[in-house]
Amino acid sequence: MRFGIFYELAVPKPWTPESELEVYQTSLEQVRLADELGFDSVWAVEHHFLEEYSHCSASDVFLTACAAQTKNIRIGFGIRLLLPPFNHPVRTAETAAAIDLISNGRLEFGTGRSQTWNELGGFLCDPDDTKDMWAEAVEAIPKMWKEEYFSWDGKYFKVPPRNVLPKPLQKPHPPMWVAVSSPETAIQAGERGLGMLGVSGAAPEEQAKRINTYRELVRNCEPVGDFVNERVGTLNWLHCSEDPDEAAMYGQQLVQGFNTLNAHFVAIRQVYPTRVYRAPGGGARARRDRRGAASQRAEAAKRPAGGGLASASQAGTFRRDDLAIGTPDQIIKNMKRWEEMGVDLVTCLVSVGTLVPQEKILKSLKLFAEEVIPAFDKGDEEPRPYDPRAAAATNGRSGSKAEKAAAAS
Amino acid sequence: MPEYGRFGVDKLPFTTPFLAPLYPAPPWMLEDSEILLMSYEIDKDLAESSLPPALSRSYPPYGHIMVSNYPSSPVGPFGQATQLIVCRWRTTARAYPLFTIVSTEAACAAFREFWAFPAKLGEVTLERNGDSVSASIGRNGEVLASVRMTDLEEVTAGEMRYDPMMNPRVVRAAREEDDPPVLELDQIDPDYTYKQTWRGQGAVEFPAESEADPWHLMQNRNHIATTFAVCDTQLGFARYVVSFDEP
Repeated sequence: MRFGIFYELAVPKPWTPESELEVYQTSLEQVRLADELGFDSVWAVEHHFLEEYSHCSASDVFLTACAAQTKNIRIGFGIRLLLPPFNHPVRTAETAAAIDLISNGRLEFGTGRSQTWNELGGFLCDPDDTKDMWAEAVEAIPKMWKEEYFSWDGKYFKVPPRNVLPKPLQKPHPPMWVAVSSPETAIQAGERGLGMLGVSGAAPEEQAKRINTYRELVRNCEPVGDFVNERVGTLNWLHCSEDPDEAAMYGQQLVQGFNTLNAHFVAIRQVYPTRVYRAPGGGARARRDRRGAASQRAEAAKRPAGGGLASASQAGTFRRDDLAIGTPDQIIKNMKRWEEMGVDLVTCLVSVGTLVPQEKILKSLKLFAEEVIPAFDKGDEEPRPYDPRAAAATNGRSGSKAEKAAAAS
Repeated sequence: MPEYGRFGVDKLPFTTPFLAPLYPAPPWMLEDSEILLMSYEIDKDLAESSLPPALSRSYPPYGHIMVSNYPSSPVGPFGQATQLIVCRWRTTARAYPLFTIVSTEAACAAFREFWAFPAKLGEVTLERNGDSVSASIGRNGEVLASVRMTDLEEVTAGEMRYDPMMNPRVVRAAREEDDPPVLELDQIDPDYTYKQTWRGQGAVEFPAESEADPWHLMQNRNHIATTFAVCDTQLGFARYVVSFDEP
């Protein structure tokens, strides 16, 4: 199992004229250190209009900076929105290929379709169409990377014969993923031979179900690209410290800061009735509310006013056995759960704006790299960064796990 | 010796007037309710200036106009319409009522006194004609708002959602120098059993710009969704009570 870092580029209020600058610059410093320390990958979201929560609308630019300032760490879209009203698929193929060249073949191409009214409403994109828009674009983009003269006559975009340039360095193309935040998207990933990039904070038991579904489906998938990227990623939070109370305090700030900011946006399923985004029914919601009430109030009692962040004394009780938060030994134990579940990659949020002091984050990354990463086998994938001879021999990243599973059965 | 009254606490009915209560205690079963809900983006300043300190606005700010026709209830048929601002209590989605109109005296009293809606007596109509639904909300002969839903398309019950409401219950002190003895937010969260559900396009107009009933303040800046449902509604006691002014 490998470990990556994940960026939303949150900028919590109050803002100063330098707030965004500070978040971008401290994040890039973290990425440079993570590269030196041997982290597997850095990922960045694409979000629009999500005040405070994510100021990462131009993730291609941020990732280009990451690529230019590092040598080994892989560079991941986590994810690129494949909706023509946001990004024309040709522009996406061009941008991704350029980053693959600048990074010397280190791109991981994550895809998705947005979950918020803020974004879809902002780009006047009909929520009912997003699933089909994504499906059309994810099928077309690998063709743009490979074909000299690509043409497309689809429902959501059309392209006359054109040579889409540049072509990516990784051949036949970079590994492709899709953001998975529900059982349905796990199925979409498996059926298309895409990597399953977990982006929700679902409970381990729920994620285990999704992983099993994905592994079953990917065996007989029809890949949209030239190979199967059979890998499973999951999203986590990271703060590692020898002092368990300090780890808990900063870890709690990360988790609560993220959740508080995230809760203020308008998820499509909250406001727009459509089958394309599943919504809990009224009865289900009411039951969930009743069940959650006691824990919600108990949780609330621990929290400071203003939906704000924890103090050191309050954070002492913050312990969870599924997070990369704690001492190295605690984290190793927690991460083994994910490894046993079949997760190949854990991507970790290490900061929410500048809520956690930069020196603490850098120290946490160093300790994690020294003590936690070596406790895990990286797996049998080819050496990184991109090796043209290895790629030629294997035709890129083959679906080795799927093939092995099929052979075994 | 003085002869004191014998009408003790054990004899108190659910509401006043004590000897002739206006309405019975919850829960109320409201069978075959028809509910029109139009959701749209609204002005940020309206949201921030109207919500109490315990609640925070959503990003982007949006609200609902919810118009209901209840053909049967413990106090007879009535209509109800409410303007709501969608908000968050801590991290959960809720809706805060700005104005409510209820069409009968007994229902209006119950909605204001017990369920803590900012209710006034007025006129509410809700009609379905073919593939459109029309609603009108008025008071003292003035139409405060009219809502029209078109292009009805059936959806499943699983796609429907009504946000629980956080209603402000404020009881003023009898003496000027005292703080309100009751100042809280009551979560009113009816249970719905859906029978038929639709979505469609919605439009709202505010024909009268009334100072006394300023429904026009919540202008539509961007339509999000409009739904219409036929359902059985059970309106019970408040599910939770939380602080009015502390997040």
